[in-house]
Amino acid sequence: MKNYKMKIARMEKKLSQEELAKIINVTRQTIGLIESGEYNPTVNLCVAICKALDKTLNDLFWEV
Amino acid sequence: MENNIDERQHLIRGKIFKHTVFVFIGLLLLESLLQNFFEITFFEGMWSKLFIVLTAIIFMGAEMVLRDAFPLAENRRIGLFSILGLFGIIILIIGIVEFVKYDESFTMENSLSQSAALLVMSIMFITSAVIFFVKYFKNKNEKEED
Repeated sequence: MKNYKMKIARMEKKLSQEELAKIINVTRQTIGLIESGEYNPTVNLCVAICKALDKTLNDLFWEV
Repeated sequence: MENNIDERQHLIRGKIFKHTVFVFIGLLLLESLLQNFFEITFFEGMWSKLFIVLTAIIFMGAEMVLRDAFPLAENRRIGLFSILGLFGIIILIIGIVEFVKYDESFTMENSLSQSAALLVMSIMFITSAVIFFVKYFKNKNEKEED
């Protein structure tokens, strides 16, 4: 399932996938795959993404 | 992200190493079966073993490239695959010259000849370089679209 919340949060911060990837020290492809729902990140990576985008885990990764 | 690899790449690389072992064992078994039952080998002499090792390595490299899990930094990757491609082209030319000039045969008894081994290996090197550059430009386009 695609992670639109993360993509929207990244766009709100005016960051490209490349820039976000550099901040959290992963590859651009990894960010792309997380956003497209093709890769499930570990909690460590989820936390790093949340910190970079000023969001909580609930905001970006919780599904009701 | 220079030489470090991230968690997804670690995970993928583990799977790729597993696939490489399967390819390696599969080729060894195939060669043994062909040799035992039909007395056929891939290539004459020790070229057969070299072919099996090289095929497994090229397969591993290609899968790493395709799944964005290659460990080297971008500029080093470009250098490595350029050299591989160039090397492939050089041995392809040598192979073709051997066929044309010395009238070499493609097969020899129950295996492919040494010159045929050169041709097949050159095609493998060139293919790996082509895969890398196609993937490289595809990633570049995706980056621009993001």
